[in-house]
Amino acid sequence: MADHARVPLLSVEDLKTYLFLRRGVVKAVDGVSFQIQERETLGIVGESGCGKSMTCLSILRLIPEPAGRIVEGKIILDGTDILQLDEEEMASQIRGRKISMISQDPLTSLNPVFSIGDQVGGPFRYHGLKKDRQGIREAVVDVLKKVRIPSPAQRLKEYPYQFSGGMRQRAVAAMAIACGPRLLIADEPTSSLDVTIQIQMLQLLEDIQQETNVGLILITHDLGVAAYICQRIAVMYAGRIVEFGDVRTIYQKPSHPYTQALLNSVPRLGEKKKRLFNIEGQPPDLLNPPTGCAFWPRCDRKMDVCQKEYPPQIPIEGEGYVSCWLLK
Amino acid sequence: MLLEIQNLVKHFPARRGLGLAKRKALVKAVDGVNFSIPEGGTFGLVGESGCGKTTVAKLVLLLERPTSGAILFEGKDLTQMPPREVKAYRLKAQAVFQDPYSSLDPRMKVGSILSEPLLAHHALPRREIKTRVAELLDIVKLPRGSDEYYPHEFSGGQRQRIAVARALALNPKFLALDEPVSALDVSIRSQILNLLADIQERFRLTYMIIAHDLALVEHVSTEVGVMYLGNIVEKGATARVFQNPLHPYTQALLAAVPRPDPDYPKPKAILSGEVPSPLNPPPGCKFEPRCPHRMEPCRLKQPLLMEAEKGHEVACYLHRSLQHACEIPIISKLTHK
Repeated sequence: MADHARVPLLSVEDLKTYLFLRRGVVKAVDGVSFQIQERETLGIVGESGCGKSMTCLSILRLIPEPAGRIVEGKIILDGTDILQLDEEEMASQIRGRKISMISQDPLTSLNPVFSIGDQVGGPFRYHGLKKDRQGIREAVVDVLKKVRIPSPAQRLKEYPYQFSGGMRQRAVAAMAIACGPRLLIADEPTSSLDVTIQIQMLQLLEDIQQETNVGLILITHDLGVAAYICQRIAVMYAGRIVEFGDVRTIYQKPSHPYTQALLNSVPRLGEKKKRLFNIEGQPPDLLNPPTGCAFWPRCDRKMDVCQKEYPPQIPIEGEGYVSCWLLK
Repeated sequence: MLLEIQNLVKHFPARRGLGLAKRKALVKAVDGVNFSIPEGGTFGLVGESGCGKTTVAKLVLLLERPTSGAILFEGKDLTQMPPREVKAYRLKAQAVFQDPYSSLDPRMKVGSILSEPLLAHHALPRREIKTRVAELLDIVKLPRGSDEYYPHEFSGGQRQRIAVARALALNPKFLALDEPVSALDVSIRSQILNLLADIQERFRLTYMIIAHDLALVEHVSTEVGVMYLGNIVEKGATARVFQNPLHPYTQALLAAVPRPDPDYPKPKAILSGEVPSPLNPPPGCKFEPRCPHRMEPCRLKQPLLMEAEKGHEVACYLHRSLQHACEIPIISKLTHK
């Protein structure tokens, strides 16, 4: 078992995804590496524009072309480098089959003019897993049950507008797990939901993982959501992972000044403070990023070296690492 | 009290069905809301989407006319005011909205955005406007000369600063803040929250803040009201409501917030179901279908908001004083939780 667990489900190695715009090159993902095991949940935490969504779109090879291009790196799923596959193979073998995705806004990921049953049945039809209508219907009822949609046989005839926000997100989750994927990418799956619905959705994701052993990548800006469900956390800033480690180390002993600042700047229930910690300045302009460590203009402990050279990865507790000169 | 809301009601007409089956229905967005805000205080209104919290803000700002009820500002009822006095009220009550990308006109320079309220109300002679704009930029800590740029040249956090500056232009007494930071990045939120706290102290402002983030509301407000389907179900001093929540909905809401602490115990019981449609709310307590403690009386009659302890009101039959007051037969095995 221990040996088996060491073989990662997915391994991303030195991934670089750039956007070639008229105004210049944006290094949206600039050398990102991580691994994820079966049944593990990895949280990618960061602010808008830090590259967390681009990393996941790269894994699915859904980077908007021609502006975006994966310029370097390997993405190895179950031993195959999926960057070597052609588009045909990606569509027939990987997307929806081995890797699937739940996106942020369930309203825009569902088509308003097709019934829920039609759409959830889509993956079965596309991948030819079920041949006849009856078989597809049964499979749809089955998967809707799995995501705890009440009376699925009736509700599959309904349209997205008849579903509430929480139910829509469940329907999207049903499509994602339809073909029994090995890896599920959830991009801000709960940020459009209310708290009482959010917790239902998070629990559903955990249950799905227990039942199917799926590896889960959760992208979020909400530190509470990440702490709730993830075992390991990658903190991204300006296209790179600045700190990586197990969830306890990251939350209880954060090493990177950015991680520390993020954790200090959110109000917490039951801990009323007079003032919140202020992170000065703005997230960097990626067309014109700062030299060296991208966080130095906002860092309260910056040194000369930070502006000159990007810091190396320094190992921290819990098999993690941090990229910061302070720890050198 | 600077602002007093009494029995505020707003019903919106809604049409359901087609042709012969067409019938009229009412969405009771706000259904009898009471609260008051003392000068210099911050009242936080929390609740999930569709609970009516934004409608309350619109009513208070007179962007919508209430169906019934009174809104007393400095003791005068706004709903009965002649138009000229209403205009004077608009000088004193301003708003900051959620999305700084859509609340600023993209075709106006920041200078015009900030001087527009001054011009519209003839608040200052023209030659003094430029100085006032510079002063406003200074208050919200934007660089001098920002008035020469357009909103798109600023980041989200800076845009929200512009929106705050615009709200301050007329020296208001009261600001309604509708989700002022939820569209912003995590690292920017604390900047704006700290700025709002600073200007509140500096200009002795009174705030009403609307948010779905409970931790944020606990952080900023002195008093808080929890809304569910058009009613305030619990209200009181922030510390009391958050440390000793009495309504099962407030308890569930607080339990459902994921904490940024991996060792925090996960909630055992999770609220099932979703918020019912406001077109067809349950007849008794509106929370009854989802409530883990529901009892017979809850289905029959809506509980009223009543004092459970000093400065802490709740609308729930679990509290004995309410059963007496509402003439509901007491159930003997009922425990006081």
